[in-house]
Amino acid sequence: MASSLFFYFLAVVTTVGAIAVVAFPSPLYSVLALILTFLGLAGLYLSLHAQFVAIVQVIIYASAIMMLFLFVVMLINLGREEKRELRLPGQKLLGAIAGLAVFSMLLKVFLSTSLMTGKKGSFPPERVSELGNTQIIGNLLLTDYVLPFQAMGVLLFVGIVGAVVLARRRSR
Amino acid sequence: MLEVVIPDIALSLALPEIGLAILVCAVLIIDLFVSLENKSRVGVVAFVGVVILGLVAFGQWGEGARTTFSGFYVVDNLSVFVKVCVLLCTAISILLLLQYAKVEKINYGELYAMLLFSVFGMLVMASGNDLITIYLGLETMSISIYVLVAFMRHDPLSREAGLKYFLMGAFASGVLLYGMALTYGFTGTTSIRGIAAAFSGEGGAAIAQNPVMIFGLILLVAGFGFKLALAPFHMWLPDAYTGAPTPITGFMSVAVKFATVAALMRILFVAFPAMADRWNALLWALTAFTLVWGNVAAIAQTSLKRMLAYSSIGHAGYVLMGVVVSMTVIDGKVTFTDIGISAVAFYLLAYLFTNLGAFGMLILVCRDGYRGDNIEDWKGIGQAHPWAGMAFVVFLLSLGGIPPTAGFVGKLYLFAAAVQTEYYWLAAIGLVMSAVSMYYYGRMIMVMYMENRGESQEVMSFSSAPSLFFALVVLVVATLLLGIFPGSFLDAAKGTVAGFI
Repeated sequence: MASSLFFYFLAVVTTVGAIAVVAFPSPLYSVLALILTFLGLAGLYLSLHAQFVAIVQVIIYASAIMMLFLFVVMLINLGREEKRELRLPGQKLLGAIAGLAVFSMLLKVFLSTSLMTGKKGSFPPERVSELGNTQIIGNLLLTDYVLPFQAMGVLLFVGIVGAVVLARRRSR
Repeated sequence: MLEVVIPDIALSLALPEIGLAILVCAVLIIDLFVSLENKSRVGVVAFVGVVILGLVAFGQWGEGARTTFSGFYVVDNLSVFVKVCVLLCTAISILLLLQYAKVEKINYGELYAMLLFSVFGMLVMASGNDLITIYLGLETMSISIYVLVAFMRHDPLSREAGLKYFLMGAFASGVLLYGMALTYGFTGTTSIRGIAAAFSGEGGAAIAQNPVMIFGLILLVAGFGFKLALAPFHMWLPDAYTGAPTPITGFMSVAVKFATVAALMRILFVAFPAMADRWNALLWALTAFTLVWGNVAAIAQTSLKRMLAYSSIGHAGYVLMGVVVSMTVIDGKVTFTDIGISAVAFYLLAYLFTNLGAFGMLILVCRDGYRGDNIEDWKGIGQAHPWAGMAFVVFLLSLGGIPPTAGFVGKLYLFAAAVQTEYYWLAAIGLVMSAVSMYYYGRMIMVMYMENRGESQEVMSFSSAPSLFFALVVLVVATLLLGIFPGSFLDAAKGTVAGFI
């Protein structure tokens, strides 16, 4: 009971944060709302016994990356979002109707099924709490998951090079 | 204490990817020592590296399916075929880029590095035997291509194209990831073989019928649909293709299709045969819609690049048609037919040469500030430049599927597969749309040969860069070769099936 209450609380926090990100007209507030979402996610990871991921989420996402976001937003001095004329009349209304239609379909799908309990994997919660999260993740990353781990490294490298390519000043 | 077991890893299997990663780093480092005027040398290094890696990948052909990295990575004929074709496409694209980058003043080392990064992602996708590997490959590919599309930063069109593609692509990645997450939730694994095992194992039939799982499957297909620009997920494509540097447009229209279709086939055929009736119906509808939309919308275009962009939507529909007809239900039992898969492989190969050639023609006329983008600009080119005119006619006929070109054999094989597996309606739609496509390809030929040059028309001059000339000669010869002597290429296409399902 307590854990499901915890879950609903976190779910609401995460969702409200996510909606606030797009709803705030000022980018600064959006970034702050995103921190709320990330903290909610960290809480959800905690409730799933993934303490390491939760802590990393807080340290890296909610702190380091969001700090950079704030820096960037303040540095380029983004103003409030400008109101723009939409090209198609009634675009907002149509969008809302389509969104609601998808949402109601989703709701129907998820309400019509009972969730199933899957098979247990090789690292159920009991084993995890016995061995420790960090050790298992470190072990897996460098043994079975070494290819995704390396591919992820390349992906991050691509992000860095790409950002430099797009942002740097060119002498011509 | 957790025991650390180092798994057996056959690094030699992943030689193309490892080599490519090293090549990218080498290109980035060499770039530092090359002066701004000589950046083409960086492109030449990339070209040589890609050709060597293509040969390395080719050496892995025909040795059956082998997995390594704890099952995250597989080398079979399909993945080798896709890798060789992607590397071939890259090599030709670099040749096309060398001249274009100079003309458009985007000749920077990072241009080639980003291109190679995206190829790395494609190779990982082709060999991905796990949803995680496939997703990481897809993201690496996509992010590099967003940057490549926006590479002409001085051009507002290119910036807009990059931003549009990025926003749509990020959304599509989210959709795809949601589908993967739901699949993981139901099957408890991300491994392609593991998912198949979960479906065929105890309680698997119930999972396949679960509405949430079906929803996840729809999201998976929709995510790939975005990347392949199937209608109705194609909104980003015309703007992104038109704004991107032309060689990049050619590259992404071909190479992205190769990698994405390979990953899609691996996921659907190997992991989801238990839900084949569902994804097949979904893909059927997507194929029909894409074929009609892409071809009909291309008619109204006045910009050549935009017309080719719409036509590439139509061609994605043909490729997908091959995926659909690979599966038939015989006596209530789902079976996969080899002919569909080999039709996909051959069609993509034909499309590689043809489409790169068509975009190559556009690059040929590029000069400072002029892009020859307007169809009207091509009036009377047939008389003024007979050789260039003939080359363009070959590519246009091949795109439309007229003999004796590669496109004809590709379409013939595809329709034969559709008829053989009794997808008559799909074959009929494909045929009709093929005729429709001949209208706008034919109009282009008409403009070049039947209309006289206007008084005020810009005079077109054709570039004489040797790299461009060489690439176009190769493309014309290959397009005709595939159309006249398709035998050994068809055998290679048939070979992709081995060890796959």
